Amino acid sequence: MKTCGRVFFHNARRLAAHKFTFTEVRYLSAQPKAESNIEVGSLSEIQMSVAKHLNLKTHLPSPLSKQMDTLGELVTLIRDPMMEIASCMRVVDKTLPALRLVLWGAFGTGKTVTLNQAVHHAYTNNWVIVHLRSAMDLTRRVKEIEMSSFVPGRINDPSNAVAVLQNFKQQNQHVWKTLGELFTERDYEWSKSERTAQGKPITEIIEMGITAPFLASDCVGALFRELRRHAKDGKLKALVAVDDANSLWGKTLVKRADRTYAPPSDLTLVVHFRRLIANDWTNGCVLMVADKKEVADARDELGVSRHTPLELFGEEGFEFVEPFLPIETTNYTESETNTLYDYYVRKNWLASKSARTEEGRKQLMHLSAFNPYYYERLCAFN
Amino acid sequence: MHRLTHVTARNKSTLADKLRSAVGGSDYGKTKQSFAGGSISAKDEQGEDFRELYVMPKRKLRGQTQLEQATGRAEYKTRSRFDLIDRLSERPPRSEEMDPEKQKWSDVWPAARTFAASVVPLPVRMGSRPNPEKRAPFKKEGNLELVKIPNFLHLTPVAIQQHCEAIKKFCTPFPPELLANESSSSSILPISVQYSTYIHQGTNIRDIRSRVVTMIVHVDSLKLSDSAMEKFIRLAGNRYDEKNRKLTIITDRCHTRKQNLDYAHYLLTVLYHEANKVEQWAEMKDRSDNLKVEFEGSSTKTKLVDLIEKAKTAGLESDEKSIEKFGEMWKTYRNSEETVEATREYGRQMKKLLGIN
Amino acid sequence: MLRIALTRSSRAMSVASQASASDSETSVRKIGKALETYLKNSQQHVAMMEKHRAEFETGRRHLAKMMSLDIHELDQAAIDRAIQYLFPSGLTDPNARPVMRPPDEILPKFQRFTFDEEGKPEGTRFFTLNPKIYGLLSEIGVKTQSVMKFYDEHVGSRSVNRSDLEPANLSGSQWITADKMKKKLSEKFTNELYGQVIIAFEHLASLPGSAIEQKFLSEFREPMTASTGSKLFGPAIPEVKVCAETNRRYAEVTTHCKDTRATVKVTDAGKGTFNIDGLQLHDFRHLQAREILLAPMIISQTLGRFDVTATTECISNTLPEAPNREPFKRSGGMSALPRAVRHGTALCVAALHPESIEPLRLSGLLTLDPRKNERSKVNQPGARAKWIWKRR
Repeated sequence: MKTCGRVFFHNARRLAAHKFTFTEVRYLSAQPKAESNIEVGSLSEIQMSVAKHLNLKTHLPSPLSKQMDTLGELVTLIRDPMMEIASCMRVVDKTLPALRLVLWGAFGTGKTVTLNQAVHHAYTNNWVIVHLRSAMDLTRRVKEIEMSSFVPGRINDPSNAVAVLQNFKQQNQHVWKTLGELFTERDYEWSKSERTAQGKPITEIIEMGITAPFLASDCVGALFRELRRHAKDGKLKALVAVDDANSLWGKTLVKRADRTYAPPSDLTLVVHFRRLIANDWTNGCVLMVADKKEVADARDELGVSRHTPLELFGEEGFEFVEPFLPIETTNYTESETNTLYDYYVRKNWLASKSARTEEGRKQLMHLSAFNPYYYERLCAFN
Repeated sequence: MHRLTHVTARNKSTLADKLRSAVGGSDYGKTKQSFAGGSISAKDEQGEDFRELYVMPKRKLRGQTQLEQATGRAEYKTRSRFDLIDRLSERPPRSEEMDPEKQKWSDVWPAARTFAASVVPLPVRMGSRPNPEKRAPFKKEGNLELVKIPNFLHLTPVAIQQHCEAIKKFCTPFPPELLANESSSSSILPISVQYSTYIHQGTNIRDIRSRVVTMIVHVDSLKLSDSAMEKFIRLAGNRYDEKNRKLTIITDRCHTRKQNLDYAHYLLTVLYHEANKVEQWAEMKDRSDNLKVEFEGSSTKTKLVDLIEKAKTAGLESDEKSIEKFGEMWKTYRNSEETVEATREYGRQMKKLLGIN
Repeated sequence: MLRIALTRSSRAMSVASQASASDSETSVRKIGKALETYLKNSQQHVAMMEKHRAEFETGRRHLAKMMSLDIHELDQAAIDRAIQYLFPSGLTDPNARPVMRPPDEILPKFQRFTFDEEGKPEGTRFFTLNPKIYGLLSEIGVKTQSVMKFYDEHVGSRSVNRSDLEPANLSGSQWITADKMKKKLSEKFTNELYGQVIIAFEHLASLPGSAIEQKFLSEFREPMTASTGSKLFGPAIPEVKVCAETNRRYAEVTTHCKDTRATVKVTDAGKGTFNIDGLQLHDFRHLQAREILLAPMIISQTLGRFDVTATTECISNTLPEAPNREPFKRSGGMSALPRAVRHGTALCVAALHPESIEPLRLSGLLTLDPRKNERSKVNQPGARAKWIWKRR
């Protein structure tokens, strides 16, 4: 796919390097709290160090993270939903209940990418980030289970809980110091031997969970509880970003002792995330993605199911999530594809001769049906 | 056809002589006698009759007669065909005798009938062939293809008009009031019954589909109370169409149409009375048992009111009055099939409500 | 056969022989057997045609009376309509349906020869075996000469129109095909001869002043567009209509692929949007499907110009089923549905954008794909598959 003549490649590189000096790429991270500078439809770069810090490689969709590896940079397009989220995040206040936003849209229109952009935006504003790669991991990818000792009937998920804590720790290094200065509200008695006393920094809870996986699920609950409390007090602002959030009300693959599938409300982590989503706390923003992968049949190649929030969350989930603000992600407009096309040509990501012609530009645009995912896939092979 | 006649050979045969003499009486014996008196005695020593040697028949051969005819030495005598009477008694095709001006086609072909080439005066042709340039389709005589296909020769415009004229006296005009006002038909005639009658070209007058009866009832005319209406909808299931408020009962389980019609009436009666009954357990109906999701009293409304209050204190320009409008939108959103446009509308209203942007 | 007999016995033939065959008994003269047969057949044919014509005329009067029409109103189109009504036939082959047409139209033609007084074939070209085509060649030659002469005489003068001194205007048309020329001249000839005729025609048409022979030349020309239309297999290119509300041009056509029937409407001056049963282009997950759908636009290089609206249905869903049987609910597959839409789109694009007819035709997009699912056989699990044979 990327086999072109050596000379040609060299020239194109030089050309690209030359052009790059005049590029419109903006550095979001370089200008914190300056979202007014971001223009809709412009490319913005997230610096690799930040991307690594936020562990975006695992959180981004796989084609984009692979592209990030290949190109050695992460450049994304700032689009309307991102601006909407930014304006909503600006509103967040100590008195206002946690604002709940649901990103919805057709397949491949950039729900996850927008979510990651929002996470990056929260990072630049020094917010605390609770970022879940996919809620489906909690319900469908459960490797080991333990019965909870805290609440009878609950099912703990040590491996996922540790992953959540580790991810939290990695993504919040920028506010780690602040978190270290926040103290626990009460005594936590994890087991007979382990306990966290009142007035200890909440980072200790995280360390506890990471070192002792069998306590991790309860630690997650305690951490979220403390975060909500401190947010209410105005000591921190938090962004809760949950991808595939509708899976919290979906099916599970966890089996109970009687070999029936456990409902998601029996899973400790799901319950903790649901509590975080409930807007009984303030000074935060909950960003959810309603994704079709929970309900759609991947083997049904012809059926087109709905991607609207009520359909995906179900009645129960929908009533839980309400009131929320739906934010739609859409396909590209023509100018957006042109921006990306220019970028890909500049980076020599579009290598073939025919793709670089005017007709090629049009064909890429229409064959992808202006869908961001299809557009990226087509550009990767041309 | 010319036929060779004047078979002189037959007249000269001995058999003919014998016959002639037999008819004439005396002649026969005379010849025999003369024969006996000739050089060859009629009887030999043993008293047996003389047996002539057979060399050739004593009549002219075909070749001889033909030669005579060709040279003009013999006379020709034409004779009619031996089966002339049979041929004359056979009638030529009826269509050849028809006069287009004088005859009435509906008299010739009054009812449905298989195609008959001798009756239909049209030079119709039919049949596929590999090369249409080289050969025409087969003519109508003896053409099975024309027999196989149906024909409407009995349904010519003239015939149809005659039929209509004939049955006109049995018809009454459609009520003009109903024609004028389409909507009044639902209140004046709330029940309509549909069924189909099938006619076959064959001898069978029955068709299994003719038993099916469809009854359509305008439910408004039943004047049900709200609770009864809800029960009625639940009992009717998918037979009730919410959009045009019509109940459609299709009955086909009995053998005859009359039975099915009675059954449909019975079903309607039972539905009506069952819907009006109030059972004990009906009192236990919960909010979640409602047919429709209501905005009033829903958790969404309480949460929303709470949120708006808090948003107000936070300084957002939330619009309290639009909560009723939002409620209407919410009700339709929850109770109808979700569409992309409906979700967008939901977002717009919610933004307005919270006062964001 | 006939020709050989004629050449052998042409001297022996008499005038009387062709005059009448009925009084042949008066003169026992030598007539070639072949010629005798020809004359007999000719007379029989004339008689037969007379009979058929009379029969048709009577039939026509009968039909007019049956359908209660005036005899003058009953032209051939009215007859066809009446026959279609009286004898409804569901046969798909139009050649197999009942017809009532004038005998001169449907009965095979009888080829006649011309003879002179001595009974010799008329014209010396008879012996070339292709009298008509050689006649045409020599006619072209004569006309070529006269055109050259006319040009030489009038080249400088003002006595004739300027337009007459130019080559004939043959734009928008082409020479008729060999088959059509054979039919026109009612004679068979080789492809080489056809080539020679075309060369001669080209030469004549290229001469200055050949405009005076325009009429003669146009007899052997046919319009270019008609040839493309006749070559298409399946539905023809639809007519362009104009929407009264939006004032945009559009074309509409119905076609099918496998079991999927698609009604496609393509509107000009659009944005390249698709609406196929309410689905948009991005709802087609597979690149293959999107490629198929966009193929006509890619080939005609009109991406983003036409809006496509299509509705599809399954043909077998619409077939009458046995009573009390649930109708099948099927829908077009991953490629069959886009292919059905593609064919319709290509036809409409060809109508709206005539410059792209030839590229579309060459890429095979204007041709219907007639293939269908083969029916499964009795006592077999499928169309070709057999049950596993097992020795007991």
